This record gives sequence, C-alpha cells and structure tokens, in this order.
Amino acid sequence: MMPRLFLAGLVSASESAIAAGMRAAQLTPEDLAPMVGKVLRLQVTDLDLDLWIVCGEKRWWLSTESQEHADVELSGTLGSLVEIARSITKPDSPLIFDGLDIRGSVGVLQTMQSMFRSLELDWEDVVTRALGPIPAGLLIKTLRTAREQWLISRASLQRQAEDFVRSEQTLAVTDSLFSGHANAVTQLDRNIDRLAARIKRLESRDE
Amino acid sequence: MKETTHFGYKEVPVEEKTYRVREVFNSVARRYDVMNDLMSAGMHRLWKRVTVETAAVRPGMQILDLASGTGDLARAMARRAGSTGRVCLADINDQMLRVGRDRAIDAGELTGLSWCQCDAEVLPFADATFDRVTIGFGLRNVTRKELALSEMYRVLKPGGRALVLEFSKPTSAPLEQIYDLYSFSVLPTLGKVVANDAESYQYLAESIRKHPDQETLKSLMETAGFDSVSYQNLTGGIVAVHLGMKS
Repeated sequence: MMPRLFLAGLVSASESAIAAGMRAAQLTPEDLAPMVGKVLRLQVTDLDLDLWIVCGEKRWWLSTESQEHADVELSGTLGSLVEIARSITKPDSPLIFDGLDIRGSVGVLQTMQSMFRSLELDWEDVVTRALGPIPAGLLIKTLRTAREQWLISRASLQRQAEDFVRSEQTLAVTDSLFSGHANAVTQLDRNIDRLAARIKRLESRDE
Repeated sequence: MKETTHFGYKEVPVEEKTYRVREVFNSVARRYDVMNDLMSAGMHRLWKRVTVETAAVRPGMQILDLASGTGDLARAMARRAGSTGRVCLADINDQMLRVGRDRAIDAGELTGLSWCQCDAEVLPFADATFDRVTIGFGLRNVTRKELALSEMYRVLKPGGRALVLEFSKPTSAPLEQIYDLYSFSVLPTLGKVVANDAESYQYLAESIRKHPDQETLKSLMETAGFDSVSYQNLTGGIVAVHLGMKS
C-alpha cells in the first residue's frame, strides 16, 4: 500500500522541483508554449516503472498513471535513463545510449532537453520549503554524507576488485592464454610428425 | 409502503436522505478541509493526487467534478487543463460550494472554473459534454448511486474517462480492525473536539461501511455502461480509485 503513495509523494516533490526550477530560470508561458499538450513517457524497464511528463501552459506535470498517448517514448534501464538525464546538462550531447530505445517525435525530446538544460533545479530548496529549515538541513546533510560514503565505498570496492584480479591473474586461464598454448601444442605435434618422417627416411636410406 | 434507503446505519425514506446529507455537510462545511487533514493525517492530498494523475488531464479539456465540495480536486485539474480548459464544480450543497468558491478566490485560481448547484442523479448538462467526469468522496452520499453513475456516463464524451474516488474496504483483516476502531472511536471524538459535531462524523464512518466495496462498485460502473472499468486500492484499500472509460 505504501509504495504507491510514496511514489505519489516523490513524483509530487519532483514536480515541485521542476516548477521551482522553471521559476528560477524565469521561463514564461511564451517559452513553454511550443510544448503545451506534449507528453513524454519514460519507461524504466528494470524497475517496471512508467513516468509521464505532461507539458502544461505554466508548468510541467509528472504522473505515474497512464496518460493514454505519448508524443515521444523513452524506454530503457535505469542506468541508461540516468545517462540521458546527466547528458541534459552538457551542451550538444547525444541522445543515444546503450539499452535506450526512443520512439516518436525526437523533435519534442530535443526541445524538452533544451528546456531542461535551462532549468535551475534546486532540490534542496524544495525540501527546505516542504520540511522547514532544520529537518531539511538534517536530511540534506544525511543524504550528502551518505552519497560521499557511497562514492568512497564504490571507489574502494573497485580498487580492491582490480587489485584482486591483477594478483590472481597468473592463476587464471584467459582465452588468449589458452589459444596460445593450443597453438604451441599443435606446432609441437607437427614438429614431432616431421621428425618422425625424417627418421623414417634416414632409416630407409641406411637399409 | 415508502421506499427507504440507508443514512449511515439508519433506514430513512428516500426523499429524506438528500435533506439529511445536506444537513451534515452544512454543518461541517467550514471545517471540512481541516478535518480531512486531521482525519487522514494529510493522506487525502495524496489520494487526490493519484486521482488527478489517473484522470490524465490535458490542456483544453472540459471537466466536471461532482460533489466538488471545497474544490481541491477541481482546482488541481483546472491547473492542468490550463486557460483553454474548463472545470465545472458541481455539488448539491450550496454551503460547500460557497466555501469552495471562497477558496478559489483566495488562491487567485478562477481561470476556467465555474460552479453549479445540482443533484448528481439529474445532471443539467447535455449528452457528451465533458472529457473527464470525477466524483471524490461523494458517491457514498448519493441516494441512487446507479442513477448518478448513469448520468456521469451520459455527460461523458466518447473516449472520456470517469473517476470515482471513494472510501472502500481494507484488503487485510488486521488493517480492517484498526480502521474500525479508528472510525468509530477516534473519528467522532475528533469531530466533537475540532468541529463540535460528533454526529456528522459518526455518520461519515457509518456511510463508509454502507458504501459498496471495490468489486461491487466496479459492477455498478459496468452496469452504467462504462468500459474497461478498473480500480486501484490506496492505503490498503481504505480508499479506492475506480476508472471507467466511455468508448
């Protein structure tokens, strides 16, 4: 029962963050006019989650419920969608990533991408307005610490894994090592045959 | 013999129920939103949010919100419908409509809103007028639910969506027990302390128990003509959103 409402809360908070970003970027209804009524569907395949972005006259709305029709659909893993979200901040970034499928009007997607780029998204401001300064401060500090710890742990795990592979690689039989040995054995086999043939020839000559 | 219906756990003549329900809502109108927040611990905002998302409102749509009350569902949809859309807030109770109108004025949100005092069983609109028809926490107070659903179907355009947000039956037995305890002990006490009206909130709890459960309401909607009727339970079935389409 909670996930649905939790999701609704999360979607509502994200929607507020985007609206605040639009206000901060001073996007006017005239700026948003080309997108009014357009719908973007994001399908997160590994989470089995659908997120719809509906463009209104003054702001954009998010929804996890079916909106019937989408002008453009992005379907992919969470990783590929995070990649595309990250690319939004980089100018002239491509829209092609591994595991990402785009259907519909790419023009709508590109317009949306350029609008997102101009937003000044400040999730901390949204959290502060929703919870008040003290709880929000605590939450933000906790999330920042958790993120830093996660980044440190991830880097450390990556390093340890690389060290392990490097130290154990002499024991490991790789494809190239195996095929090298197989070639050497074949070569040796052929040399033995050749030597055996030569011995036979020499023996027959002596007789 | 006079035809009767339920008013909470009481049996009353059909023509008396409308009057009694009006009295209840006249009594609670001023503190309706505060009480909703208190009773549901703010959850009603998320329930309504899910309903609005399910409505899939687009700019320019014509929407009818029945039993609109203080109008929070209608205003949320009006924001999505934009300046080219129109939302009609309909309610049988003038006090509730007045509170809703005042809220809209205070919020500066009057664009695309209109008000109509009418009975959900006899809607004063032409066939196929609206793209969306919603009723939030109102159907259980309607005397002839099947008539109201038929009217919702009639005024809906082909391809349109009708949504019913209403209290329903919890899906788990332990939750149902807690919910019963809360409804019949805490709710009337809250009503007495905050709104000085324990009776109205006793009626609220009773009317929820008398309201059809998820599957029964689904059947009622299908009988009224709706296609592809589905519902989703919220908060363990305490509330359910029913969606019906008109093909």
